[in-house]
Amino acid sequence: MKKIVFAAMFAASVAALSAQAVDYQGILAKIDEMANFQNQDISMSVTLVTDKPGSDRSVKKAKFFRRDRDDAFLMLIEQPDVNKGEGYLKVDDNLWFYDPNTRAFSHTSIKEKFSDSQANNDDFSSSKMAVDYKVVTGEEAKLGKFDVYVLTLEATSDKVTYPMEKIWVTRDKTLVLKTEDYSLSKRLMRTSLFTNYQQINGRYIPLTQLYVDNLNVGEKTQMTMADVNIGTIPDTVFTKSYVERVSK
Amino acid sequence: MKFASIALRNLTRQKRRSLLLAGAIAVGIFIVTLVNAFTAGTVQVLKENMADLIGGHVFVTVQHKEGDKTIDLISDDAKLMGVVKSLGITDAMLSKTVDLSGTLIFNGKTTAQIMVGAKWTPDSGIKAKLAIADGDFAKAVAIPNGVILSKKTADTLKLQLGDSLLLKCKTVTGQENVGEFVIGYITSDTSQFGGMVAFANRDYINQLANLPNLSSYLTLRVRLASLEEAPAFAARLEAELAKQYQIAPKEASMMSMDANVIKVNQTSEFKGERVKVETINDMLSEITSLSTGLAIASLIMLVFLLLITMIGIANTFRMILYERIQEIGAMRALGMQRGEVRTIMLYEAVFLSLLGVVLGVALAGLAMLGLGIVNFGTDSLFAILLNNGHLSFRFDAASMLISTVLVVVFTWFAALGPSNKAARLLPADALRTSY
Repeated sequence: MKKIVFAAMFAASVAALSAQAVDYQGILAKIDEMANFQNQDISMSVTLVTDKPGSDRSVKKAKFFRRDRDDAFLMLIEQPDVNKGEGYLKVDDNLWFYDPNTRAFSHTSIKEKFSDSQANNDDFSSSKMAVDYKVVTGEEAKLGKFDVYVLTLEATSDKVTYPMEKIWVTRDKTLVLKTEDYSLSKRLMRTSLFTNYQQINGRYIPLTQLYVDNLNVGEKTQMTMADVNIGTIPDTVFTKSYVERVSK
Repeated sequence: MKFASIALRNLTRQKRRSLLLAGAIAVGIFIVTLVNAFTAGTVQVLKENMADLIGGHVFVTVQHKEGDKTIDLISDDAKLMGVVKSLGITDAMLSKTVDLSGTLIFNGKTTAQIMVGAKWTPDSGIKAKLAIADGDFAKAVAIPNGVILSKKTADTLKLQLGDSLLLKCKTVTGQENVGEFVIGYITSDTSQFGGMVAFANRDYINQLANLPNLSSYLTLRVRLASLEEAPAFAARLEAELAKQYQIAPKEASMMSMDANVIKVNQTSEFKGERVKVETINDMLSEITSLSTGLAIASLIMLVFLLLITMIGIANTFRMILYERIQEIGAMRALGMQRGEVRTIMLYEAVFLSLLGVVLGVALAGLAMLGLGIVNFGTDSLFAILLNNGHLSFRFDAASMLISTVLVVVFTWFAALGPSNKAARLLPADALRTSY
């Protein structure tokens, strides 16, 4: 009898524990769901402030458009004057840089830095963490006053910039607060912080993003979003001819 | 022959005038000769310096298509090496390289660098290339992640022997990677040129590039006896490789030394793998085109200068005609034919032009000697265009011949009018006329 009771208790414990086991891979899918707007387009104003030791502070303002269902975005730089008219147009796996001085497009890589800042071009793409990464380890922790999951991720392919990442995700709303990007040799290269989340149509956008270079101490870029709009952007916006026209 | 000697004697009768006219022609020849020699010499030096820097004259890469990306990688080179060696290339002429472009980081300072993977043993070929003593080299290669860099780089980053620094680079597929190196040796090279390249253990570089195995590499470099052999050898190699591989078409110059190891080729599609054969000339095709453009521009400039000079020559020969009108009348009266009168004057024009060419070339030669002595140092940005700090000039016989022919033809035409007029003079009228 005792054996039967003990076995039943053991089975119940296992069941209970199983129910509480966290689906970390599912968290990645949830992150993507919270960050992407599948049926709508998004536009906003972006301000990038980059600090580099020994250089003057660089401030760039741009207009940003994104269409997640086509994996497309357009970033048009408006200030300073020396960069005015420069554009970054991504459609699927192709990313082009437009130089208004030469009036020519050049193919660039999603893994490159954006306009001499600490942000990468693929930081502006839709979120595809569930596809690009797999969870290696996960644990519960605290980040400041927030209860978070800390997930260690490994890239599933060589398409992403960083082979390894560590992310801090809030447990309640599955919002990414911090990421650490690691090189193939597992050296910390960049730390990113995401704050000031704004909820729009059930999705969340971090209005303030800070990218800190861990190799070049002192180099960082703060990105601030404003005038966020959700709606339908004309198809022509995500074309080279549009970029050429508005960059004149 | 007698007309030629008469023409020569006539030229010496008015030495100052002849020298002035020849001098005017010489100016044009001087400019064209100097510009062409400087351009040709500089391009040659640039190619030789680049060949030295890059470590070869002919470069072979194997491109693989993976999805929409093109990746350069040589993993199994048995077939490739078979073809290369069948053309008489020995191991000593070959180097299998993995070059990583990246950024060196030390104490908050950064500098761009090309990290060349080299055989990291005491008998490595780079010891002689970098002129490092045996003992110092053995110590450097004893460090598995050691690096040999130039004094220029060390000064920029304020590095000393034994310091650890980071290299931020990308893998062969474009992913971020960071390597840690220890300074094993600092060469005495202070040139901008030398500051671009550092050498490290090829196995470690392969690891950073994330190559599939230690025997993989990116580029097969062939060092020939001279730069001039490169185009012909590359053509033969391509023809032999075409029997076993797809051959990649020629593309725009790679002179930019892209910071990414991966090269995205959007202009020509292919499947599987293909081989690309390039020479230093291909890499510097834009420079060669610029050089050709400059040569054409200087020739056009010569034509304009000659047009202006020819006005003076035509006027001078008209003056000569009037000065010698009685002399011409006397010669005609003594039996000289019209054609012979014309011939003498045209001979004078030709000799004048040849004198101008000789003077111009001599002046250009002196200028080249003088400019060639000046040492601009090896520290400047333009050191890659200099031969150990000196300007280089290369006399081009073909362009000199073209310039000479142009000068002679123009001068001949300038003198043709007055010569014809002199030939048409009636002896009696000529003898009667005086100015």
